[in-house]
Parts: sequence; structure tokens; C-alpha cells
Amino acid sequence: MSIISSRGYLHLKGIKESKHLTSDKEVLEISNEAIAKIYIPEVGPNAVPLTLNVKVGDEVKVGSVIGIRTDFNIPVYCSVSGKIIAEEMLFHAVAGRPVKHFVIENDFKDEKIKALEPLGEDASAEEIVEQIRKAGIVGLGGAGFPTYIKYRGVKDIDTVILNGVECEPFLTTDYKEMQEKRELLLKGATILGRISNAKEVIIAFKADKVDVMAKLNEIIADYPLVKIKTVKDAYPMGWERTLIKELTSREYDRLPSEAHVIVNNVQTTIEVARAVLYGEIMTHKVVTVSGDGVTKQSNVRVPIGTKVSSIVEFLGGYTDENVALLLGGPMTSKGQMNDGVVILPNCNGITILKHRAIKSLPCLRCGACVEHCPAGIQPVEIKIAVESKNIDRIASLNAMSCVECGLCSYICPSKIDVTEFVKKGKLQLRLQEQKKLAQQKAAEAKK
Amino acid sequence: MKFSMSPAPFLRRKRTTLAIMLELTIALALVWLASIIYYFTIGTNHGLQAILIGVVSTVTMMLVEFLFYLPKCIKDGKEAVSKNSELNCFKETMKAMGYKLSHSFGWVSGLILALLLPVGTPLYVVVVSAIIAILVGKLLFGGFGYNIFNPAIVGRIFAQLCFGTSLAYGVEESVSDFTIFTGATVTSQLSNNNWMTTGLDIDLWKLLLGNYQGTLGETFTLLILVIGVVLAIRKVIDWKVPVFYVGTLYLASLLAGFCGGYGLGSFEYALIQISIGGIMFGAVFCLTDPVTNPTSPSGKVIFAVGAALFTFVIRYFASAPEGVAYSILLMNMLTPLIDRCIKGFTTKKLLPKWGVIGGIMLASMVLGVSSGFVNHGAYDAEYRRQNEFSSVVEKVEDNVYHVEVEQGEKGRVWSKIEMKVTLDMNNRTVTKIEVLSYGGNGGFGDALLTGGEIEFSDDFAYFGDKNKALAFYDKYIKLDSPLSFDEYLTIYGKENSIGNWSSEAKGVIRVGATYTTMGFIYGVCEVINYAGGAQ
Ligand code: SF4
Ligand code: SF4
Repeated sequence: MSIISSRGYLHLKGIKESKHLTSDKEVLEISNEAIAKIYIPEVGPNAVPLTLNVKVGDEVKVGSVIGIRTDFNIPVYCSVSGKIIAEEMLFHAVAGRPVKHFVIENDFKDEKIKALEPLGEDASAEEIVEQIRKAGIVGLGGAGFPTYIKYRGVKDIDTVILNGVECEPFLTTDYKEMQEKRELLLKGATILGRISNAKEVIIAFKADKVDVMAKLNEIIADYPLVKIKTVKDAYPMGWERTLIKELTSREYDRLPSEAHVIVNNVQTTIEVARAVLYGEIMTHKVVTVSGDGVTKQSNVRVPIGTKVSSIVEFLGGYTDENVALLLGGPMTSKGQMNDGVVILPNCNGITILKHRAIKSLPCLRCGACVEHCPAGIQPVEIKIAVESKNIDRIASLNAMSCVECGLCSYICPSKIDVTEFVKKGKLQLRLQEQKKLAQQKAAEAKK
Repeated sequence: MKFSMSPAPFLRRKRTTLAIMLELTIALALVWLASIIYYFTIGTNHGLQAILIGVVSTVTMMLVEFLFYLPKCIKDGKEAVSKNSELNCFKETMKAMGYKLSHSFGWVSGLILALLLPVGTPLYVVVVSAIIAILVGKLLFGGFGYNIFNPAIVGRIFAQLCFGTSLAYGVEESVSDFTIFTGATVTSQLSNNNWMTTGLDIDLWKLLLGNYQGTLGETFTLLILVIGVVLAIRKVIDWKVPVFYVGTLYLASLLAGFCGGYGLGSFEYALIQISIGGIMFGAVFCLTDPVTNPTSPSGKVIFAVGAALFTFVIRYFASAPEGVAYSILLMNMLTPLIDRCIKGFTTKKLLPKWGVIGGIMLASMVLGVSSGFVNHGAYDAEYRRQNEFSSVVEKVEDNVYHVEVEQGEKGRVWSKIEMKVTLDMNNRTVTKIEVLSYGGNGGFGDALLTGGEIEFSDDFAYFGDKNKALAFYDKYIKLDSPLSFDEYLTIYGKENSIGNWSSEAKGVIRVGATYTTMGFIYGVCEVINYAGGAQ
């Protein structure tokens, strides 16, 4: 059947090499110099404002609550101890514009406030979910969606999938964390399985991670709920829909729960275990800094709120005058306007690539984009519809289902920014939707 | 420090359209090379002509592109100079032109067109067709990527419609569209026979290796097949298109064969069907041109099976031997419609999509079955023979007969042979044959009847193994010694089909003059019959 439908994924050539840049190296601890000042945005990871708890001049400790997210009622914690000395407008990766950040002078005393109490063995599911909320845990795979929401009042879930696929090139943080914190991972997995009442918890990663496999297998017997499954090295295997289909052969319309599945990132799982079992909050993050645009490629453990520029400096600086600076992997991340951005919990890596000019040709109509789109839509047809401003056609081509994985642009032999066209199509659809609503409202008002 | 803000993804596949096109070029060049070598084995002039057609077609197309893009490139050149006065305007213009030409891929269409033309195509026809191909087929649509029709096919069909006769130069059986030689091409022979292979002198291996007449590139079936596989693996072409196209045709021909009463021979019959008439070449190099294909996988398959249906219809029912070119053009025309109709997810509604594909394939199968049955009856009645040859035998004096053989098709007379035959009824031998008049268009067939007295022009050197003609003449016409009735009757065969002819006759037929040989033998046998010499 797949002859006439999209294959949905593709092995990216050179991805192994890109991962090898950092995967075999020790995780570096960042120098004090680089974190003399820490910057915490006054908005949440999705750029929604916080209800602030502190102000300039306040002394803060590790675990002080900076503010509460207004959208999901979860706290944002301070990652170092010291003093808030100023507010500064810095670029925010998600907001796409400068927002206010607290500037915290690090006193390196690492004084802590115990934000949470560990839960006992007999804690109920509700208590655990509440603990996850209180710990402020968000999805560390990239989206930054609050984890507790997925488990609040769950029912009908039979499988929890812990995503360690890390299908973007260059990034190796999931891999590093899985290697280092296997026990926390398995414990976290069991906790998530318990609170969702799932029959099994699957830890999924790429088949070539044999060392992780071996390490987990040594102790997995103690965790009967947890299974390990490997997937092929293809992009975007780490995307929920693709991963669920690959592992369970199930498909769904809107949410994974329709397929009785919850997907969480492996690092999120580790944080859950830390919060539930030890009452620890997340203060640090391992980030992969890689690509040919940075002098030294490595994983670095940094406090949340570290400026990207200081991390790059710590690793020897840029290799070129003109680079693309990406928060995340090269397939989906936008180019950052400057390196004043800070590391947030849901940032997995910094990819820095030398600038390469791309010259595009007219579309060859080869259909490669259609044949690989994981959403199963037709990028090239959407592009044509966008060019001819045919909104109905854009809608009939299901442009809204695009997950902006970038695969269509990646594969295009004519080097067309197909993904951009599809994004434009989505935007046009949204605008049209808004227009319609406005018209409806106006019509109702008239009545 | 400068931060690049270009859109994601920041990694791109290494493969470029240019690389894909270059690989395609190499593939085409290989076929061209094979054809050059092949034609050189026939004669120097043929070989040179094969080279010339390719060069002329390619150069013409690139020249037209050059002229077409010149104004724009001059403008670009001037602009570059206005920005940076140190630059040289001419150099900048040429730079822009170089980029334009190397990314417009005119040479690909040029090569394909050349390989679609027969070796005898006059060069001015090549030039005009190439101009039409690139201009009407591509540039006027907006250049590479925007053309609806396959440019080379546009050129080929144009050449056919406007210069059909000069393409068919020197052909006895001018019913065949794409023939240039005195000998009928395989496709025209088949078309004369309603595509049944009885009466066809074909050696399957010869067909596969491309050792026969046809257009420059289309005959090398096996080579094209191998190249096609490599191109498909390297993803230069989409495997689905040629596989579904050829597959559908094969199945339909197989059914036609079974219903036409070939039994197990149907497999070979179907194989022959897909090995001739440029099907393989069309499938690998023309049908797959992505620019003129639908973009979705299901669209591509629908496109391929649709083209197969058209090819089948045109071949069998419109009796145009090379249905391939027309069917490609027709499907090109339908491509936007196919694209239009495929909405939503490619991963959903697979059943209806397969339904459409299956329906179109089924239509081809039904046609295959019906054409098989139609031809079945015709062959049982030896219907074709009556239509192809007729004779009037008159007794001139004792044992001397005058015979006039008319060879034709569907009421048209292609050629005549008139001769006087003297028989020795006692010894059952033919003692003297005098050829009074013959076809007379200077081809190899004439040489056959006059003992090679006709001057073999270089063009005809191809057919001629002159020695074979002489041997045939000496043995069957000049009659150094009387030849028994049976010699003629055996060649003639029970079925009156060339397929059953003796190896000597076959030897001649293989180098051309198919129908002349047939007509001559037919005439002599009619005389023998008339005189009551057949038992
Ligand atoms: S970016 Fe969107 S349209 Fe392009 S391949 Fe990914 S999902 Fe499909
Ligand atoms: S991959 Fe690029 S060239 Fe191929 S159809 Fe899609 S947009 Fe066109």
C-alpha cells in the first residue's frame, strides 16, 4: 500500500557523523565565569507572562520561585543563588522578540531552598501529578508543554512511550542523559506507568545506541513495567505521530491519547523521578553545542538561564564571521538574530553552522517532498496553491497538518524552501479563519 | 559577527537538481553512444549521421535558449556592473548566461529528441523540430520546471506531422510512420499485421539487443532496461512510472496473446510487444520526466497506467505504430487534472486510489482480450495474405507463364512485380525466370531482383550484404541450374508467413526487402499452383 502513500520518514545522510561530534565526549561543566550572571525571562517557555514573585534587588536561592506561569499554573524556579541586580531586554527564542529578563548575579554559594518534599512509596497518583506540577516540569523534548497536564485525570491509556529517539542531527543530550541516569530513567518510567495505569512503558531510542541498550538491560529486570524498543535511524522518528505509528501501528487524529498513548521525553522522565523520589527541582540542563560554526563541540551542563554567548565563548567561540545560530537541531530550529538568548529547560542544544548560501531552482516536480512528508500532505502542491493564492486549495490539501519538520525543504533537489511555503499556507488559513470569525461577529452584532 | 536568518532547515540533502540532470545526461549519452557504435557497424555515413543528429539537436536547443535568455542576462550583467563598476559587463552577462544555461537543462531535451529520430532524418528537420521542441515545448511555458509537455516529445510529434514523409524517405511500406528504410521496421511490420507476430521475422534477442531498425535510441531495449534500473535505484527517475507503464502493457499484451491463440508463446509475444516501438525508451526517458508528471505517488501511478492505456488504444485501434509519443503527450495534458484531483492526505483513502488505478489497468486488459479475439479470427482465415498479395497468372505458351504480383495493403498497391516463368512439369523444376518489371524505387528489393545491378548507394549499404542479394538472385532468379518446385514451396511455407521461411530467404529478409522477397516467392509459387505443380 505504501507505494502510493508517503513513506513518512527518511534516513538523513551524515547524521551519525554529526552525532559523533559530541556523543563520545564527556559532558563538560561550564566555567564560573560564563555563569557569573544568569538571566531568567519574565515569561514562560511559550512566551506567556508569569505572575512574578520577585523583583529587582531581591536575594534569591536555588529553588526560589521567580513566578508562576499564568497559563498552566506552574512555577518557574531560580537555578542559582545570588541577587537580582537588574532587568534586561533580551531576545526570547519562542516569543520571537525581546522580553524582560531578570539578571541574577551568581554568588556561587549554591544555597538552596527546599522547594519540594519527596513523596513516599505509597503516594497516590493524584499526589504524584501534583508533585510534577509543583516541580514545574515541562516537556524537555522541545515543546515545553507542562507534563502534569498529560497525566491529570488520565484514563484509557495503555502505553506510555518515553521518547529518546533524538532524531535531529547533532543533538546528543537524550543519549548522554540516558547513559548517565539509567536508574532515574527506569524509576521515572515506572512512576509514569503507574500514574497513567498503563500496561507497559516503552523506552524508545535508535537501534544504534547499543551501549544504552546494554546498560538499561543490566537492571531492567527490576522494573517489570518497562520495556525497551528500538527504532530505525530516520527523521522525524522522534515526532509523536511517527513514533506511535512505528511502535504501536496506531494512528490518531488530534491527540495521542486517542490512540491510548502518552509520549514523554526521556529527560522529562528523569526529572519526574528526581522530583517525586527526592523532591528535587530542575536547575541545570545538558545542552549539546555542535556544528561546524563552533570551535569545540561538546555537551555542556549549564544552569537554566545561561546566556548562549557565554557558552559559545566557553567553547572557544565561533569559527566563522557568518554563522547560523540555532536553538535546537538544524532541521526545525529558526536562526537566532543574536546570541544574547538564554538556555531554557526545553532547549536541547545549540547548533552553530557556517553560513551556506542556498540558490534555488524551479521546482522539478519530482515529488520527493510528497513522498517523505511525515504528515502525509503534499508540500509541493501547497506551495503551488500558496503561489497562486488559492486558499481553498490550501485548505483542501490539509496544510494545517504540517508539523514543520523541515523534511520537505531538506529533501528538495531544487533547494526550494518548501517548508516556508507550507508555513505561509498555514498562516493564510489562520488569517482567513480569523476573518471569518470577525465577519460572523459583525453580522451577529448587526442583528 | 553576522547571524544567518535563512529559514529552517539548515541542513539540505546534497543531491541537487543539477546532479540529477547530469546523471540523466550520462544515461542518455550511453544510449546515444550505443546507437553511434551500432550505426558505424552498418556504415560510416550512418555512424556520422547518428552523431550529427545528436549534436545538431542539442546545439540547436541550447542556441535557442541562449538567444531567448540573452536580453535578461544582459540586463543582469548591466545590473551587476552598476553595483560594482569594476566588473566587466560582458563577463557578467556570460556568467549569468552560464548559470541560466546550465540550469535550464536544454541539452537533456536535445539528446532525447535526437534519440527519438530515425537515422535518416534530414538535418534541417532536426533543426526545425529542435527549435519547436524547446521554444513551444518549454520556453514559452516559462522555461524549465513550468512546461506542461515533454519538450522532446513535442519536437518528435512535430517532426512526424510536418516532415513525416521525409522521415519515411525511401520506404516501400510508407504506412509505417517512423520508417526510413526500404525494409519495413519491426513496428511497421507488426502494425501491418495488426500487431500479431506471426509473419514477423523477429528474433527476440535481436530485439533486446537493439540490432534492428528503428529510431536512434529506441531499439536498445536491454541497455535501456539496465540503465533504467540504475536510474531508478539512484532515484533519478521514479520507478513507479516505468514499472506500471510497461507492466500494464505487458499484461494487456499477454492477454491479447492468449486470446489470439498463442498459448504459451504469449509470454514471448508480450515480451516482443514491449520491446518494440520505443516503449522502453519512452518509459525510461520520456514518461518519467518529472516536470511533466503528477507530483504525488498515486498521481504518478495513475499517470503511468493511463499512458499505457492510451498506448494500447493508439497502437491497436488507431493503427499508429508509435503510440508511445502520442500517449505521453496526452497524459502530459492530463497531469494538471490528476494533480488537482488528489487532495488531502496521501496516506489516506488508499482504497479509492487503488480503485482508479485498477480500473484503468482493467480497461487495458479488456482491450487486450478483445484485440486478441478480433485478430484470432482474422489469422485463422489467412485474411492477411489475401490482402497483402494478389496475382494474375496467364499462360503465355506451353510451360511459360506470365505473372503479375501486386503487393499492397487495404486496397493500396505498394509495388508490383511482373515476370515470366518457365516450368518443366516433368522434372518439377523451374527452368527460367525473367523479371519484366519491379518495384523500381531503387532500394535493396530491386537489387534483389536484378542481381545487384542497381548501384548500392551508401544509404542502402546497410541492407546490403550485396553478396547475399547476389546469392539469392543466382539461386532463385537467374537459375544457374533448374530449381525444384519444392524449393520455392518450402520457402513459401504452409502458412505463407515469413516466419516459416527457409533460412536463405530469411537471410535476405533480415537485411531488408521483406516484402519484395515475399512477393517474388509468392509469384513463383502461384505459377506453380496455377500449372498444377503443387501436390
Ligand atoms: S515541514 Fe510540513 S509539509 Fe514539510 S515535510 Fe514536514 S510536515 Fe510535511
Ligand atoms: S522536492 Fe522540491 S523539486 Fe521536488 S516536488 Fe517537492 S518542491 Fe518540487
